[in-house]
This record gives sequence, C-alpha cells and structure tokens, in this order.
Amino acid sequence: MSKILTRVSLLAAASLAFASAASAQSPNGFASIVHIPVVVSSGTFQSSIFVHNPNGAATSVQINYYGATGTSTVGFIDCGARSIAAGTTAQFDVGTICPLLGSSNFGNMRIWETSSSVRPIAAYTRVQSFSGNGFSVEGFPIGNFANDVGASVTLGLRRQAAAPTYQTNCFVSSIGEPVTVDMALFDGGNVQLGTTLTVAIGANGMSRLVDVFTAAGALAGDYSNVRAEFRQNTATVGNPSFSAFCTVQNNTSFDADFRIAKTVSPDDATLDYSSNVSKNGLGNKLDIPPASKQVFALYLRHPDFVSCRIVGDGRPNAELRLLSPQGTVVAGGDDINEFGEYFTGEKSTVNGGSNGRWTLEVGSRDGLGELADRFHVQCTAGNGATAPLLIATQADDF
Amino acid sequence: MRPRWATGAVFFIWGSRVLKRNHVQWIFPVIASCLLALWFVDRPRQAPAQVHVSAPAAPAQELRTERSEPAGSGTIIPGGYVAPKLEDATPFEIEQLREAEVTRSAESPEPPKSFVGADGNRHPFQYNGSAQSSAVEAARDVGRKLLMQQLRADPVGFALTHKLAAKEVQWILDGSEDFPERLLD
Repeated sequence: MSKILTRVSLLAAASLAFASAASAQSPNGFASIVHIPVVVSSGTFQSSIFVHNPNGAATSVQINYYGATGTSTVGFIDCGARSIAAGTTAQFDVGTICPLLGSSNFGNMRIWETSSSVRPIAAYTRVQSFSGNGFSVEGFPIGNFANDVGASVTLGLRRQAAAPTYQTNCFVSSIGEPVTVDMALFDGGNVQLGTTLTVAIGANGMSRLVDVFTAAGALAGDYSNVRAEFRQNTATVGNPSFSAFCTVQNNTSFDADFRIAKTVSPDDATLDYSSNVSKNGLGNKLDIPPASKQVFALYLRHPDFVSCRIVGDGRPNAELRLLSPQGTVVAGGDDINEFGEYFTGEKSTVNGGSNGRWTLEVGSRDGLGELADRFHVQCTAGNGATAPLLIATQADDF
Repeated sequence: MRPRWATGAVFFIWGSRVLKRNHVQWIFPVIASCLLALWFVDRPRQAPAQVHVSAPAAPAQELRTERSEPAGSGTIIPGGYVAPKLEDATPFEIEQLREAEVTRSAESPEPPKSFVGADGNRHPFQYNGSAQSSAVEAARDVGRKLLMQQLRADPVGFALTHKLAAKEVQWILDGSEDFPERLLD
C-alpha cells in the first residue's frame, strides 16, 4: 500500500513538472520584487527558497504565496515577513513558512523587500523529493515580465507514447492583475497543432494546462520540437504582464524540467530589439536644422550586433554614423544612411568592459537639413537596447 | 594670488631703500613702475553691480560655437549651438551652406569600410551604396505605405489579422513604431 501511495505521490508531483534550465534563465536576477513562477509543497516534493541580501544593511522581505487553481490551497497565502542580515542568505521551506491546506500544493510566489530604502535581493528555489531528486526554478525580477505585446515562447516541447513516455504541461500565471492569455502550439515548420486555448486568470492566479497536446486538440501521435506560444488575448482589460512556462516530464523516471516562456519583443523601452524613432524626447517630430546634425544616445550591451538606418521620404538626403562610447566613428559617415550589422567587439574591448552610451549622429547630405516628419531613425540590437534618444543638436561635421 | 600692483609697490620700496646709495638705484623704481603700468592695462574690468538676484542668462552670442554657419539670424538650441534658419537665408547664403557641407564632408573621416566580426575576422560594411540595398528599402517603403492604407481602413481587422495589440496599432498610427519586420519583409 505504501508503495502505491509513493507512486501516486510521485506521479502527482511529476505532473506538476517543475525544474530549471539554466540557459533559459538570466543572470540579471536581483530586484526589489522577485517573482518565482512555481513553488511546491506536496507529500513528496518540497520547495526550498534561498534569498540573498548582498546589501550592507539588513533587509526585511515579505513572502506571498498564490496557490494554483485545482490545488489544495487556491489563492493568496501570507507566508510572513522575514529579516535577512546584511550579506547573508536565508533559507525557507514553503511548507514550513506558508500555512497551506492539504498535501497537494503548487503556485507562484512573490518576495519583495520592505526596507525604507531600495535593497535588491535575489531568490533561487530548489524543488526536491525526500530521495533527493529535484529541479530548480530561479526567481525573476518582476520587471522582466513585459509581455503584454506580442508572443512569449517555450521551445522543444514533446509528446512520446513509447517508453520512457514524455508529457508536456504548461502553466500561466498573472502578475498582480487579471489577464487572459492565448496559448497555441506550433511545430518546427510553424504549422499550428490543434487549436488555440484561452485561459482567463484572476489577479495573481495560476492555471495549469495538463498535457498541452491533448488540451490543444493536436492529432494523435508523437511530437517533438514543438513551440508553445503565449500571448495576451484581446479580451484582457489594460496591459498586464503574465508569467508562463512549460515542463517536459519523463513519466518513467519522473524527471522534469522548467522552461520559462521568453518574450519575443518585450514591451520595454529599455530593451528594444528593434526601435523606430520619429520624435524627440519632448514628443516633437524629428528634423535636421541646416548645417546641423542631430545627436542621439543609445545604450548597448556588448558584445552585440547593431545596425541603424534612416527610413522615410527624407532618407535620400540623410546621413548617419555611429560613435563608440569613446567617441570613435565605428560605422557610417558622410552620405551613408544605413549601415548593416556591426559587431561591437568583445566585452573588454569596448568602454573598459562596461555597457555604456553610444551615440548616433544624423545629418543632411546637402547641408540644408530636413524638415520635420520626413524621416525616422531605426536601429536593431541583438541584446536589445534603448531606442535612440535625441540629446543634442550640433554643428554638422560630416 | 597677490595682485601685480602690490608686487610693484613692494619692489619699489625695497629697491629704493636697499640700493639708494648704488649708482644703479634708478633701475628698480623703473621696473616697479613698469609693473604698475602693466597691472593698470591688464586688470579685469569690474563687473557691474547686480541689481537683481536672478540675473538673466548670458547673451545669446556668447553661446555660439566656433562652427556656427553663416546664414540668417539662426535659432538658439539648448546646449549652445545656433542653427541657421533656412527661410531667412538669401540664395547666396544657401549656396554657402551647400558649399560648407561639401567642404566638411571632404574633411570628415571616411566611413569605416570594415569591422572585426564575432569570428575575429574582418567583414566589409554593408552601406546604402549598393543598388540592392536601395531596391530592398524602396520595396519596403512601398509595402509600408500599402500596410498603412490597410491599417487606416480597418484598424481592428488589421490587428486581428496580423496579431497586433491595440496599442501596437496606435503606435504605428502615431509613427512611433514601424510595422513589424515580419510584415515588411
């Protein structure tokens, strides 16, 4: 009987399917508010939470748990406040600090520091069974979730009937506000499998889509290299973000992993992969005064690829060039209105290894300038960058 | 810093007392007089008494840069640069502006021809000079105008068809965002 119970517990835990894939997570992990996509407290699995305070003073953190739909404890649970001494790392077990009901709980968690000054923290969680099998989920800075526009994707999903039998489950959480999310599956050739699922979630809620291939109505059979695409449904009120992830589990060994949905085009002006600038910082249409150049600042993260161009009716009379943080012209120049991909150089070769401010200068080829509303400045950066921001008008010198 | 007149006065007194019996005693008073004269010519003008605590900003011409171009009365831009105004310029001044551009273009550094890529090798830049680039961009411009017509005709339908959020549509209509690459390419 105990063996049967153990197997049931393992299966239940495995069906939650959580774990980590370091490549899917980011080293930019410190924040005042950290979102952990999933934590577990069941008969077999427990999440341990590690919170690090690197600051020079102690900080207090508040820990909130939000149980997923269908679990023993649905919704908000106050897991209390904790003080973390300067430079230390505290460890908590979800089942210990959170007053959860029953023995089958999973949900998402928010941890934030409540100090009177800003003291960013980082969190990491480890889910494991009594036997030591486990997996990891990182804490994500809450500001990283900016996916109200476009798609967020998880990759490499699969279903396989033969041993060891693979199953994919996906999860969607709202972040502070209600949200409605569409989820669709696509094969490697971008052909949709089944239909689009729509999930409506209340504020801080969480929903699980067990066996997404079946849930989406995909035809019977095995699948691999499948992409789950999540995007905000137009029924959503406002522009909230959401957190989505999938797990692929091995139903024989109960291995599982964690794959956060990555946002294709974050709605984040500090991180534009592609920017289009038609106005200055005051909202006025861009122009080029005679005998002048417009100087834009953009912050790049190197090493990176970057390209810029002028578009619009004024393009034939425009010229641009890119200057490194040291003021060296590295791309473009006289009579150039578009430069293709430029490589910034490895980390230490640029700006002393610091990500920094580059400048883009735009002038006119005939020296007479360009009227407003006749051109846009477009840049792309592989790591994402700030959109070029007009910072000065200077005498033209190229 | 000690003022120059004080140095001259000290020199004068010292020279007169110490060397008054010497036959070249006249040299030191002469030097001191020269120093006093230099101080008078070179001294800074006294600033006028400030009547208002919040004095107006410095006159515009002090903000001009050395590279200001000749033409019109100009527009003063925060940061100090004065851009000439084309509408006030005479045909001669416009021609001067054109010639100035030719000159500075010739004097400016040549656009870099290549860069070191991620593979450590040199790669040539792809600039707008190629006919291919211009053709591609021209085709994209045509596509952009066509998409804009469709968008203006039916923003909601366009958003649904192309999976765009309402605010993305608004950004495109405002001109603060271009159409997604997937629609232009």
